[in-house]
Amino acid sequence: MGEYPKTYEVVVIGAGHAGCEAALATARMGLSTLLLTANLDTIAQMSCNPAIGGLAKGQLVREVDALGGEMARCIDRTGIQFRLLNRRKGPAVRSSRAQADRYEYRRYMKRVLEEQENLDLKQAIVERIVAGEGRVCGVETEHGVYFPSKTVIVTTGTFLRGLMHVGLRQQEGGRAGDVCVKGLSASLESLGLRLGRLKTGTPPRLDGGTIDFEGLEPQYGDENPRPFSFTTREITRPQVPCHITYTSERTHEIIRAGLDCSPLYTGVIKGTGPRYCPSIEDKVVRFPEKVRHQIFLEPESMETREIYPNGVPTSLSLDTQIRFLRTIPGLERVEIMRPGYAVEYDFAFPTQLKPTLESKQVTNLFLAGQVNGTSGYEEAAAQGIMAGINAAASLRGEEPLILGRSDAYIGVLIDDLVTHGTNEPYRMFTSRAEYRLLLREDNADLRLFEKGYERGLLSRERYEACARKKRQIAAVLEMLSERRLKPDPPTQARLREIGQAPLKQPVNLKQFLRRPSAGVAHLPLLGIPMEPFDAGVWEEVEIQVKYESYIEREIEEVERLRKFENLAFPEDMRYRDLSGLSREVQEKLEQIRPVNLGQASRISGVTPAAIASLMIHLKKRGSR
Amino acid sequence: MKVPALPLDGDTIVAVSTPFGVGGIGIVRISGPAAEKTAAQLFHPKTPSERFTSHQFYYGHICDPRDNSVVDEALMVLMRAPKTYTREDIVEIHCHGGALPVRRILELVVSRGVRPAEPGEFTRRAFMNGRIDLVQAEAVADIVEAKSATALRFAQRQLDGGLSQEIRGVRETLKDLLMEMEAWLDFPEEDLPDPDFDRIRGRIEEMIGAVRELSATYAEAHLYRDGVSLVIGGRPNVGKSTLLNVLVGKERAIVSPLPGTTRDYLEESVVLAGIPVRMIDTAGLREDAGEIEARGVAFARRQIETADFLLYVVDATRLESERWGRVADFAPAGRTLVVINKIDLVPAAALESGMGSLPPGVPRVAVSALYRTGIENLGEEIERQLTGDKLDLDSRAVITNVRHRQALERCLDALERAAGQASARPVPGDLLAADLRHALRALGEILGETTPEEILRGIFDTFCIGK
Repeated sequence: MGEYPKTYEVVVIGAGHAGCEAALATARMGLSTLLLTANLDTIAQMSCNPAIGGLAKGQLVREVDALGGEMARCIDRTGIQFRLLNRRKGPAVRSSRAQADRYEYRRYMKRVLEEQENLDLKQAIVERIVAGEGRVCGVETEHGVYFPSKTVIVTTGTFLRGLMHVGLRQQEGGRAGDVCVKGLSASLESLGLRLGRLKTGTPPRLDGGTIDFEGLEPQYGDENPRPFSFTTREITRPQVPCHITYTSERTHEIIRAGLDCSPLYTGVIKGTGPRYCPSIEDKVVRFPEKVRHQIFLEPESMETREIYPNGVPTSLSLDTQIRFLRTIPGLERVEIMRPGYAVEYDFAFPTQLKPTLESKQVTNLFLAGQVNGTSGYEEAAAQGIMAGINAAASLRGEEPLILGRSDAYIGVLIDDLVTHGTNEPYRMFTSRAEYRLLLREDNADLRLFEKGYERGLLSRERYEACARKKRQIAAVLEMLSERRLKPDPPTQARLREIGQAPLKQPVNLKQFLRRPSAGVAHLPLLGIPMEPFDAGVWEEVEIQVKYESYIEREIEEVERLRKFENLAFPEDMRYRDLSGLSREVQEKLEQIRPVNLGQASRISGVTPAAIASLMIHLKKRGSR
Repeated sequence: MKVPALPLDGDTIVAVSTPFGVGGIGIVRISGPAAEKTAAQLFHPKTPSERFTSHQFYYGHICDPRDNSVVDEALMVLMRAPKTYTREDIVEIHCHGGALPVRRILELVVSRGVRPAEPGEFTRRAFMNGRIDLVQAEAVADIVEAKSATALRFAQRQLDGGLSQEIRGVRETLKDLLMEMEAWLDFPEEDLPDPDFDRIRGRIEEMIGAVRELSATYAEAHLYRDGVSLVIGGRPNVGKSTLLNVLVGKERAIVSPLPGTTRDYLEESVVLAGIPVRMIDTAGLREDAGEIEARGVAFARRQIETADFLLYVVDATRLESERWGRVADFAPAGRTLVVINKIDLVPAAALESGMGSLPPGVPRVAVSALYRTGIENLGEEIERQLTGDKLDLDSRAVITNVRHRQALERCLDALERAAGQASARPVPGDLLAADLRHALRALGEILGETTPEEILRGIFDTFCIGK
């Protein structure tokens, strides 16, 4: 068929969680966008567990939402069980998690894509990325169609040379029932990108009709589920429970006996798997003293009986799978509908990317999602929207959007990827964020709404709402430091009524709120009405007051280091020629090519003395 | 995170700009916006003035603002930007060259919130602020590199042995606790037991004790860190030089661990009981000296006054002619050891009676420098006098570096906050973890950072994670 008559500004390859956000972002920013997928029926497919969010991931979802992404709205409409995790451990580690109806989820996302202006959605497998003089010019599909394009965003997930394992049998494909993409790997390599091999796994899917839920511990969602999106008013879909069961010693015996057919333990699988999500055979071998392992039985959808047994990903032979499952309480008669399997796939080493997610080798070629060595829908979506925003910035000659490690988990994610790279599927944890107290779910909108609006991804209306919330928080905080409680008899009496210790001296309301047992809920009883401010404002106020000194300490640290983030390296910096740097440091800098001194300082092996030397060289160049 | 050691500009820094053992004065140099304010807090000019004139020396005293005690007499010069080495405000405090006053002034300045300078930082600032020609950029980069390397080797050496063992111990405990906390925070849906916060608080308190103790050794350890100056004084021809040679000869195999130590016929550095000792031979003290000699005598007396320790040598054959009352005028009490030399020339009985003329309570040792009798005894006595019963280097770790000290203090602050959070119910996990992270990061300044990846690795190795 030859060349397609339309030149797109953006072509996105792959319609998973990264691709959907990337395509929506560029289309919403007004760029003509083409989204290509190997299968239009598996858009935004949840290849593994049917859930969105979790620790640190919930923060990512809310950040994507604050920038104008779709994931949060999608799960709010299709979630069937919402829970806020770590409710009592502190606001910085509170994260939302929801079970999704996986079919509803992908249908919703497909509809959003279809209805999006400037966005074309087509089914085709891309065989080749076409580039000339270090710059992309389009993509070529399996049907021989050439789509000219100014930028290309690769979001191919696990599909590059995907190889699935069940026992010692292998099958090509990026996901059970789907195709394997072969041409693109070679195409990326020919463009100069280095590829590596990773592995991940998924559990068998079970027939819920053959599970005996009686006697299993149910796990219900929250009574008042909190939406992910700042734009969702409430969750209306009926909520369903999950169930908890455990493996037993008998299960472990069967697993151990089945190891001779394990592709992991017989050396068939070469790729590196994630440590935080080991297969059940891994858990049994590595923690022999553990007598049982927990399993969550999660519904996949309201339209199917299929159950996702979270906690037993496996690539053991199908025979072993069914035998070990039937030793588990509730699963004595279980039937497997789809086997568990491991999948190996190509990924591109992410240190080959700029912090914009653009390839250092090829101009206007962006990579996002699992192809960069990450794992998780949320990590993928976060990269997707950032690749979209930066592709648009590049096309328009605008400043790129690079989020700092103190701005967002998205910033931590991308900085980790492009500065350190990864050797296993990278997943976000709150412990990766040095400014964890700043990067909360509750303030994601306040942290990012201005950036989302500037890029044209938030409506004026939404911008105004966020700006208003910000002003109101400031006003309430000021009021709290001005209003005082005096130890007069009526005040003391009221304090006693609400179970609070009497005052020894006059305090302002901020000081009162810093009492561990006090909260904004006490304020109406002390004559401070909550109106006209809504719960979101008060939540923010309470956290900011109670955590003030800690938050200030982190902000001080951020400010102290801002200078380094602002000292940018020229693109043509020749690190090998710089004096005062060891050979090792020179090599590291050449490899990573940091954008600024801050990033340079985070490269392992780059010493403070080397940073001092770099400052001197930067100064010298700047003065020329 | 390599945060704290990054080369920040714009804050105020301080360093001792005269190396140990060189010259009779020590210079503490402060550069940055808070230099003048800091000087005003610590320096009390003899003639009080509203505002210091730039580039002019003032005479006065350095006082500890906490109790207004005098630390040393000093000259202070304030040089306002931009006509200074760094093009920032610079204050120099010129004090007595003994290690103790220099160190105490440095500590006072640091206690006012001034940061100890990174290696080569004055030069780097001079460059960054355009004071040094751009052509010299490479040279400046090399200087910074070289100084850092030296400082690193030096700090490493200070960390050898018991000290790093103890800090490492604290760090391991911190890592364990942080791992437990992070696992609890990051994996709420795993089948993990809740941490026992009473036990955690107990361990934090143990660490507080250990860190506090380590930090306190800094004050006691100045001897080991900075060494002492030991002046050999006395009237002419009592055998001072011979004694110096004997003492140095005896110890010559031991090399001073400190850099920049000058060696000439007047000064020799040795290590006694692990303490760097700078031995200074002085001109003989006499009253009927000619003009030139008188100057030498005056110099000797000044050296004796500012010395950390005095060996006052007397001639056993002329004990009666010593005017002890005058000696007591300048000999620092509690820091003086009388050495009765030339005992080979007097009969034991005469010596015994001669000793009776010494003021009571003054420690004394009888030797013959020429025949090396009693020298062993003298060495032991010096060591005993220097160390007292304060420290035993072999059995205890001591903090000797002001930077390490600062890091330990920061660690201590964070641990104290952590202990408070661990007592709250419910425990604010995010805050407790933040405090533990800060404590760990502070130790990282001494031992190298602990990355989040290390903590995660620990979690995956220890706990079975994998919902």
